[in-house]
Amino acid sequence: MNKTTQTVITSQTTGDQFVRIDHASGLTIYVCEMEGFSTTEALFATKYGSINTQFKTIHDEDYCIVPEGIAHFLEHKLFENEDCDVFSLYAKTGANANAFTSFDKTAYLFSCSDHYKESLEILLSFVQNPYFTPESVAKEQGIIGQEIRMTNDDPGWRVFFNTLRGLYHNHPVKIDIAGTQESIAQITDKLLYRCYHTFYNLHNMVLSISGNCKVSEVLEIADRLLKPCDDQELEMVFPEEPMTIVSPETIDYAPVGAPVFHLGLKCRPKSGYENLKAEMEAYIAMQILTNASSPLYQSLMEEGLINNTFTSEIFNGDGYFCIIFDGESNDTHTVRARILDAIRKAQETGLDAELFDEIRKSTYGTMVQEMNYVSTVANLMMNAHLNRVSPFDTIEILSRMTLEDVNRFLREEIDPELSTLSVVMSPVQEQEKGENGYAQ
Amino acid sequence: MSASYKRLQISDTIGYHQIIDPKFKTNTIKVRFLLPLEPQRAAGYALAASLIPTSARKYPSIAALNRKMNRLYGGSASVDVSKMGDLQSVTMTFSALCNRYALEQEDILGELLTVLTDCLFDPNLEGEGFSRTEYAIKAKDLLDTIEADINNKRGYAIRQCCRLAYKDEPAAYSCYGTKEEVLALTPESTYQAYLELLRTAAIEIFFIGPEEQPQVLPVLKEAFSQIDRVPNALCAFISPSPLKEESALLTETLPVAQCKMVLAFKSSCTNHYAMNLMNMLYGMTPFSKLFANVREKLSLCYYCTSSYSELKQTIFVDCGVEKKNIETAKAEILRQLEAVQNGDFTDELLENTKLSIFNSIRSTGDTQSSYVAWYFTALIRGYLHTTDEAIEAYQAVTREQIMEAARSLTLDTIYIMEAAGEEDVHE
Repeated sequence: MNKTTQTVITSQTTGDQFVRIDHASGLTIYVCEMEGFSTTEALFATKYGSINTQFKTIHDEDYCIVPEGIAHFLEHKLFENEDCDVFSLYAKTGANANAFTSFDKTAYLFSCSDHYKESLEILLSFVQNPYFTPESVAKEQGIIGQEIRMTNDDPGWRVFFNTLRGLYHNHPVKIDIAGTQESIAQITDKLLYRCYHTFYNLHNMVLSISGNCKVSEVLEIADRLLKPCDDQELEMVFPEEPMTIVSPETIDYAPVGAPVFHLGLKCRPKSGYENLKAEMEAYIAMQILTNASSPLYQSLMEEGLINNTFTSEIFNGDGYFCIIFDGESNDTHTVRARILDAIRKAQETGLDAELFDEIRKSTYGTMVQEMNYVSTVANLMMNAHLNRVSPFDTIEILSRMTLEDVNRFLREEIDPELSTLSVVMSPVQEQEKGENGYAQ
Repeated sequence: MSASYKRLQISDTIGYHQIIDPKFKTNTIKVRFLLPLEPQRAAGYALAASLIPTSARKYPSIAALNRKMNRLYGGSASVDVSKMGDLQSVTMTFSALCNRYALEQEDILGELLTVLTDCLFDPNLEGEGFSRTEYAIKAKDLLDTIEADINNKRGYAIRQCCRLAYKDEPAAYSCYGTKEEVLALTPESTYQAYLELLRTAAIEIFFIGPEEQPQVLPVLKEAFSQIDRVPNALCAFISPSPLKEESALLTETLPVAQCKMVLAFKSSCTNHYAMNLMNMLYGMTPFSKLFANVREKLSLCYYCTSSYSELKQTIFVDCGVEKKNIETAKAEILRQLEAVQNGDFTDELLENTKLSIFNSIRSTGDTQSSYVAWYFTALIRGYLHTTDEAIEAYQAVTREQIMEAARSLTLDTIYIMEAAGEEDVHE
């Protein structure tokens, strides 16, 4: 059996500290003791999300393909024990408990200001003890069916997934996290157990805990409750994804105010540290070009082409990397042209050096401020581990970043031709649409 | 050093709250203006307020002010316009990293204070009104915000229910005004609205940071002394909504996948500890009566929750549901309320609900905004409790008081958003 080891990780830039525990059971644990805070937040997460639809372990001969939405379904069902609902266990400690499934992870969490050790015991116990039956699966299909309908009515959700479907031919990032009414109807208790035993292996998981807690206390509970397991050498398969887009434009209709849009730019995916470095370079480049301090933002606002909902984000993970601009506009074609022109121009001339210094300074300040939130710290440690980087890598990359790094990213990694525009507008706006664009 | 709170005065009509907690890494100043929510004025105040923390004479565009905030290590200047019972609340927030994190020994707080006074007292003007360019940007933002009311279907359903439940009361009105009212404004009339806001609103200012900063109060005193203040008499913070003689129903049909239902119950109970606890036990926690029965037992909804407006003494229950299940869901929501009224809940559920509320009270102070909410609530209620005193008050609430609070509820308004053509698709 392996030995448990502890490492203190310190940020060279801010002096903040985390403790990383490589536990004998196979689980990696991160703890951040935060003096003066009453709240404790714990996240117990597995690197398993909606994109993990095809996989095999050392025990399997062939790759297993599962229905869309099963990771999210499993998350719902894990909240039910053989004899009770997990919420009723947390009710006795007063903790606020929840869970979420994203594209590449599933996390179970609680936050509390008292009895954190009891809540941690509940968290570690229920996630390691699945209980699924045909009856409980059938019951959940009704609840999740309603959740799917609810998200179908969210224009932001629709415009986002239409963007992903416009960018990705094969990668499962384009499927809805909760699946569809049809795909969840195929889920059985046996399939849930198979996915559970594949992905809820401690070697594929992380426990992240921050705020009002102590390393020694967390370790004592972990020693007592974690069930040691062997690494199953999990292999993931993602279909081959060509570096082309599916369609340059998608229009969808729903009751909305001004048309809602996403402009997505497909970039080459990366992994680990390279992925984080590229993410930071892309982030800084887009902040310089399009955030509220940029000349482009000011002119688009002055011309009435965007409003204060306009933002950009970097969206990346296993096998996907894209830059997404989102907002509301009555003339989305012009907004697309202006953003892509600004990128092309910056590829030729390079970014403004003064703006680069200012954005870097601002990003540094934001990162220091984030360390003041218990929940943000717990999420930061969890995400870093699941993305195979160290929690302080982001701020260290920022401190070393040069303008040339960002210019190189712009020149070599962004191709304005690989873009898709997704719009959700009300049917009335479609009727009013002119020949050369959308309703003015 | 532990946390501390002091309430001081900027002037006779402006309160100043100083909240010090050494664990924070930022200094934040919040200036909150409170005004009666009036249809003729709300749009003007909302638009004027949105122009203040986005540009100033010294930083004459959104981009210019944002560049300044970037140089202050990602400092922020923002505004929030909201409804607080029958009042319109406008809060301007200026926040930045503490000086000890400055890489080049800059006086970040000193510069933040200058930005604040520049924005509030030296705005970006053109003639007798706001700069036309910036005015046009913010007017469009406000119009788009009003039009986007429909985008979030759950929020829209609750707001529609509020409009009907509070009919003929200020709370029925939007804190942003209407599209027509915004279109009727000009840069000049909006600047006049801003001067009126400075002169007549009740003002409470909050400073939150890791250590006392003696320079803040004198700067604010000096800046606000330029204003000839004549504050309006505010209507009461707590303004219970009268019960309708007959309950009202509004049904709307929209092209959506999921129907929404919102029920508004009015109460005459003034024991807010009992009301809060009853609301949580009935429908706010994941072990409440509504969650356990409407969602988990009957699988009717993904969400079915209750929320309590202390200021209007109204409880809203909202859910997303299939058309064919609307009546079943409504019957179960009412049946669970009846169960609470009749004391059909375990002592364990009551104790667990109390634990849940204690958990949230004890976390007060872990964020700057939770401190502000705590001390502002004290102002609304007219007394300041410590967190221990609040916990004691909740602990003392009895089963009978919960039943009494539940019995004080009467169904006043129902709002239903029906999915157009749902039967055709799903039956």
